[in-house]
Amino acid sequence: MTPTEIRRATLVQLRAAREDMMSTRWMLKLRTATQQEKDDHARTLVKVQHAILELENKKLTEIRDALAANEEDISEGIDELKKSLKKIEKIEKAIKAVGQFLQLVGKVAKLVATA
Amino acid sequence: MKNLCSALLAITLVTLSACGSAPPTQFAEFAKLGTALTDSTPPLLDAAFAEAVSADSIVLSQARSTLVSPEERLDMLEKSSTLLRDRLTIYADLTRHSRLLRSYFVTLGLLADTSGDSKIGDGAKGIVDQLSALHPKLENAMVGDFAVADFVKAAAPVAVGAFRSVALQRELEARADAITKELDLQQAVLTAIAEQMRSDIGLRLQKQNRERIEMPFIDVGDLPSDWTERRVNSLKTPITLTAVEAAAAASENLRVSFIALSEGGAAGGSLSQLLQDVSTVVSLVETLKKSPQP
Repeated sequence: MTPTEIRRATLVQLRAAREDMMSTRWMLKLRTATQQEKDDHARTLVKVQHAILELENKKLTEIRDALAANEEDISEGIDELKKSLKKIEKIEKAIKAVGQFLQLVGKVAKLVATA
Repeated sequence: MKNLCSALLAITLVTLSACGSAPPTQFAEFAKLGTALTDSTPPLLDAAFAEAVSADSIVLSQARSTLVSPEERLDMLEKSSTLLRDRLTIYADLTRHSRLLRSYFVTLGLLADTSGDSKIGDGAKGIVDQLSALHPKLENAMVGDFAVADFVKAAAPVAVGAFRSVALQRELEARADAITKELDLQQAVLTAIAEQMRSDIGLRLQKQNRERIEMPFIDVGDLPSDWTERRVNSLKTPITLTAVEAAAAASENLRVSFIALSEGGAAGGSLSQLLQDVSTVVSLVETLKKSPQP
């Protein structure tokens, strides 16, 4: 078993334990328990809860760190895509500019012809 | 005419080099769905955090009901709050990251969007029209059986479309591994959150059921008049859980679609499945926004 698998299995067990300790059957048993038993139950329940939060945080932190390590690549991808978009924009602008220039040349040519 | 032939050859070469890659329209669809899915992540993280705090509060309240030592109670509360604050920091980082991924999808979508290319064709035809005003012979010039003016109008969008395909293909070659890894991790996040929410929501429903359904049934006396209705509601899956599970499924499909696109194959099948999944997620998240739980 890898550490990740062990952690995953532990988390499954802890969640199941929390569910059992909060179940109606357990609560009914607590009704007739001694104060010491009730205190022990409360302490164990909170320890289980904190262990769940810690393990979940650990798992999410690992994924978050892996995602952060990928951010440079994603940003680079955005930059490259933007560069390609700019090239297309340049083509559009060039076509427009050539059209406008030729229109102007046409007008000048007409003027020259009529002069 | 020689220059025109050279231009036609260039258009043909760019177009040919674009062959074998998935069409830009499929990338555009993929990018649109990716954007919608990344938009859904932050509200799901908010819901997951609310469920985590709710579950923790249920446990602490239960412990508080028996433990009398104020120091012990305070220690428990403080430790829980510290762990939940850490969780909030992680979720904030994940939200920030999903915004970055969203930017990637949006930019990819813009590059793959061919809807404005016909305007470029109109612009190119405008040039031919202007040229023909200067040189009337050009108006009737033919390349094979095609009039130059019509050909240029049709060829310009094709060439730009081919340029888009080549640029997308280049992007895939450069970043296919990074994006596949990214989508793997996105799925891992959503799966982890779905597991967490399943457990936290289970705890909340367990308490709710005990108080509203089981205890009135166990204890002596009449059952509440809406007891059956309470049972019906308790058996339904909460919308938050349905939403996050749908998002986890959609993120898997997003990965499959990306692999299909990056391998140059048709991603049509996986894209239509992805469309269904993402639509489900979006509508669930919209409902969630209107009536936040728990």
